[in-house]
Amino acid sequence: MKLLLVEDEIDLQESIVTYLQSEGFAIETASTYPDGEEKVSLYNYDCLIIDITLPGGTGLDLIRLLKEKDTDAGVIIISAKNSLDDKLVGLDIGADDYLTKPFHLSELNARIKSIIRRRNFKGGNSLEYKEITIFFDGRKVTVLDKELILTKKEYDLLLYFITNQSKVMDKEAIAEHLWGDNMSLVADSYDFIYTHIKNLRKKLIDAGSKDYIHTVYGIGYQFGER
Amino acid sequence: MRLFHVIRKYLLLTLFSIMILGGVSIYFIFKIFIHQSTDQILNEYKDRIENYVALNDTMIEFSASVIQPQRVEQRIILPTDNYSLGFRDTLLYNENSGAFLPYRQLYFTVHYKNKQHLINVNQQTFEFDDLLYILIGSIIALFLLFFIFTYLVDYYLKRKVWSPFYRTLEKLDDYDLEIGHNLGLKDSGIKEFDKLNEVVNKMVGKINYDYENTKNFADDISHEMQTPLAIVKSKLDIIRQQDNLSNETISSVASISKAVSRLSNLNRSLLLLTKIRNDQFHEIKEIKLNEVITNLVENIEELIEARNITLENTIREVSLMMDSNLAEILISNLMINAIRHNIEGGSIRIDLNSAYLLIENSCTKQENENNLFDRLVSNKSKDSTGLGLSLVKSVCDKSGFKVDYHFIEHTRFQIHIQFTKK
Repeated sequence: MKLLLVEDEIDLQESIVTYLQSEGFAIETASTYPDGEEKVSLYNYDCLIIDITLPGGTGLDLIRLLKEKDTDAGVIIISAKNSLDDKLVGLDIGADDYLTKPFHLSELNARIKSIIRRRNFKGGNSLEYKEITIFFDGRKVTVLDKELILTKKEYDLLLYFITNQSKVMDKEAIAEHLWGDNMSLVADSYDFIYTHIKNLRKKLIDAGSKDYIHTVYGIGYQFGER
Repeated sequence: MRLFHVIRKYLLLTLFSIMILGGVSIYFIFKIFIHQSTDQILNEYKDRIENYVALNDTMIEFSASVIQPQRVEQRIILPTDNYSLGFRDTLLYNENSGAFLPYRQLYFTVHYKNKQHLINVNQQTFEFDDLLYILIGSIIALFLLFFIFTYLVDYYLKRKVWSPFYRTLEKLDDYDLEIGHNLGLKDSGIKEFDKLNEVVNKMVGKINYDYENTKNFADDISHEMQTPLAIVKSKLDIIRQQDNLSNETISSVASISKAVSRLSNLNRSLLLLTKIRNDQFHEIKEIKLNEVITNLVENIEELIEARNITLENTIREVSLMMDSNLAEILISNLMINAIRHNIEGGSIRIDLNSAYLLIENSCTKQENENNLFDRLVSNKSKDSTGLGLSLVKSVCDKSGFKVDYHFIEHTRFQIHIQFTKK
């Protein structure tokens, strides 16, 4: 999967590139509007990550430029401004998602994969991890081909884990993903995460799966083989 | 009292005084003038009589060619008699009109054949009483006429003169800082109102300009703050992926991460507060508040259950006119508050009807129970921004609701929002 990141803050750009590359994406970057313009016009990508405020122009124009090409590419806007107007305009001109800085890289990762799945089914209709399979149609989960009943939050959690497998995620990232910005503080401080993870873990193991959810001391959680 | 009434009051008072003064003056001037001309005639008669006597050497009844007989009276007087000379007013019976009429008399003496003759000549004069009544009547009539006239003038003024003023008032009333149109007040031809319009136009222009700047400034600040925060967060995410971190590093990373989250949330809340206060949420729609509440509660069900908090509610279907974002902000902050400050095994009660929203919950002891709306509430466990209730208050202010809270014996917290109409 090929990605284009248009972001002018080099430090942030580097972090995003590192993380997404480790997720198996090929990723190109642009730091200014003219650079972005050039790349968008010349090449094709599966998903574009565009910052609105750029030197030399606005990310919104890049999106408009992209839409003029006949392409299936998805667009996720990243912006420091949590501006309602920008959000509306962005989604209006064809962006698939809008993520406000600061965000967790695992969140960005999850959203990109979600967009790619939705846009062109290149991600397939289901996601497999060892004995676990997630079917996006109907949000069904099976373990060893037997259906597993999960609550909404447990489903979201499992999907988030598998999407970011092998990555260490801190509790705040998980809380933000499950409950949004507002509630994450509350959830975080009372270890609701722990309860959910415990429940999910139990259900998976009871259904016959190996225990892929690991606690990383002092930092958070990791999903995968140890 | 309207401006016109004030003006009219003084006008009428002045008019009344002037009219009284004028009336009195006219009366006396008239009197003097008429007396003067009458007296002139009487003097003329006197001269004629004196001449006649001197010329014709006779005191016999004056012939008709001299003066008309009824106008003259004469008798012989002795030096010892009491009499007075000069002009006098009196009433005499006039045969022609059959009534007593006012006459002016002149008494004088003529010396003839060694005898003093007292003669008086009479001239009919003006009924000054009539004059008085006429004057009073005129003053009253004029006054009443003027009074009525002022209503006509008022009506005319309202349309011609005051309408530019009311137009200006209307435009000022409609002025919405968020929309920021210029008022575009036009000249009316009346100097004072034109000057007013000029000043108001300028002022509104400046307000619009300053507001734009403030808005942009607030937005720009957020942008500037969020980006460094994003960088820190992303680097932390990368560090976490490393395998061989020492325990010290892990601990430091955890602390940094927590601090950055607090900063980030504080910034976000402040921004929200500013936006709300600057009326940047102003799309008023019909919002079913009961749905907002039930949706939110559904979303955080597990958070409530995990702390063994019991939730009871009496929620009626309630529709309100407000901005939908503000509704979300209001309810989520209220609920976060109710959960965060609650105790293990505590309770939350939600009461919603068309008149008010009441949320009551058990709570831990607060260090300071006062001014929760106005300040950053200090929180030892540092798991909140402390701005929750400020946000609630701002939303209520902007949506026309009344909000207040109180503690019941330091263990229960109750917040009450009244959906009054502004």
